[in-house]
Amino acid sequence: MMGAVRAVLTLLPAVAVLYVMQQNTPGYGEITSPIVIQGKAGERVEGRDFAFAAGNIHLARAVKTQSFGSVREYTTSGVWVLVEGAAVAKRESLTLMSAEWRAPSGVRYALSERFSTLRGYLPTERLEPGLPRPVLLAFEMPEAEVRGGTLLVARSALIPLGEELWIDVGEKNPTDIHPSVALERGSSTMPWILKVE
Amino acid sequence: MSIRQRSRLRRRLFALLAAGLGGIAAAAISFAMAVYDAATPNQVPVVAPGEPVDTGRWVVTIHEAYLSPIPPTGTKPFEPDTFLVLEFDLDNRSAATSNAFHELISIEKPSPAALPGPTYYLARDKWIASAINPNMPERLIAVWELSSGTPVPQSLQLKLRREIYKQRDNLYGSPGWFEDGAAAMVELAVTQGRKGAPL
Amino acid sequence: MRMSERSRYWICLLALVGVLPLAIVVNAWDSLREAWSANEGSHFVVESGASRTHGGAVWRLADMKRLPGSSKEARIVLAALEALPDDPSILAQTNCVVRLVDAEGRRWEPLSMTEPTVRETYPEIAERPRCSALAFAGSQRGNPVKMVESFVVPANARDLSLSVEFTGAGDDVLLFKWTSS
Repeated sequence: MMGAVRAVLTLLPAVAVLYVMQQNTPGYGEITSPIVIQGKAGERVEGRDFAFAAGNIHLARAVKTQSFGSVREYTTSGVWVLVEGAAVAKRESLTLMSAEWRAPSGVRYALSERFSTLRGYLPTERLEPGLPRPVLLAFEMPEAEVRGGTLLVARSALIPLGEELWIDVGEKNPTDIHPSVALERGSSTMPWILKVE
Repeated sequence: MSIRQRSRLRRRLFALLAAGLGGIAAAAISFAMAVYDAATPNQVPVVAPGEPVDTGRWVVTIHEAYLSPIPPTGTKPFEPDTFLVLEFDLDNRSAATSNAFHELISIEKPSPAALPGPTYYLARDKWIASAINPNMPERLIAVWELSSGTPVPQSLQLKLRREIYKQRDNLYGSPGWFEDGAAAMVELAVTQGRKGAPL
Repeated sequence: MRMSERSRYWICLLALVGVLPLAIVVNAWDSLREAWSANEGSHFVVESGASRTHGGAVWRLADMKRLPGSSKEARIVLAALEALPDDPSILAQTNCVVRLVDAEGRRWEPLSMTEPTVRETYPEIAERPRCSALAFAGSQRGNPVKMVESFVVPANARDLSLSVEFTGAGDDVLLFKWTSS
């Protein structure tokens, strides 16, 4: 009788330890998640392969672009968040294919694909080592998700253990929402001109 | 054989027996569950158009299906053509922007293989739909091009695919969305031209 | 000789100290070898103006020019590469990946389209094909294949050399040095 009780008593802690270990084992997604580099908007955030600086941020209800003489208007049921920034490659030529806006709730809003042909738009710019380029980012999200957001920039969302810059937008966040913003074609050094209407 | 040796043997025999019985019990339960699942298939609910359906990853509301000679972009095709148009609302319930809605709706009747996959347009833009953001429901338009010779359907039965989130999948233990059968069937008539309120 | 149970226990415990790391190394052996070979590779440095036989041709960096770029900080580098076919059948299976490397080890990928300035200044060079299997199709012995690659680099990039990585016939890297300019 005593023997059985002792067996159960030794077994219980073992089961408890195994359970805790099982629950705490990081999943594949966590093991291979990108390496986070923290930074703030308005300053140059250094990664190993690239650096990025978020500058002006504009909020708008609609975005107008011009292509081949015709004006296209992009509306949204929420708000457009336009980020003007600069990016530079450090070791090899690369393109930053992934950018996300992480709301405080943890919900991630990916870079809009509706401007994928615009010059200067982040995934269209090939970055050369040592030559900083102005880049434009556009996100679409409900108005309530803008406050306290974090800008996530990476080479690709798919590379395991790649680096990802987490840029705290903080005070850089504007509060006024423009009814419309126009993106016009600029020069080769500044590929777009942003006009508030 | 000493008494000690005999008792050792008995203990081993007992352990072997217990393990064997346990294994047989597990196999029997698993088999019984499989038989039970096969005998009582999940009833897929049939939902009327206009009713939102929770498919796990998306909330889908099918509105109407109609035939149109022009695609939603408004540009008339060179050769006369017929388009089967389906309007629906899509709400992304996951935590990230996603474009994984192309397999969500499939035509069950008439026979699904008869048509190539549809093109999805964003109703607001009248342009090819890209990824849909969470917390931002969008009206989408799915368009099947009916090549000449394809019989024009009078009604449609649509299957809405259910997807469930797994924190750890069975292969790598990575998080993701996985198909889990049908969430609902939607039956609706195909009308000539659009009937709904203007977009 | 029979050991006591106690001494066997200690010997086994001590052996674990050596065996455990060994097991890890054996397990990871393939990955380790791959990592070593990736770092080593066969690099051949070709001095400025010299040539080297590889993959069925004699390779030479014929010219490297610096042109003004689209901004004050940028320069366009034009690299004229020549391959004199030796064995066209081998050359036809060769493919190459070209990069520009500077003294700090920074690597620039070639541009997919020639810049307008290049086409205006050196129309003859700008017309040449880029280094790829396409350029070698139908090449003949003794008839040099002339290629061009263009890059955009910052004005402060120094000691540029052209790295030509061959895939297909013999996976080697030729590093062409360039001193004049």
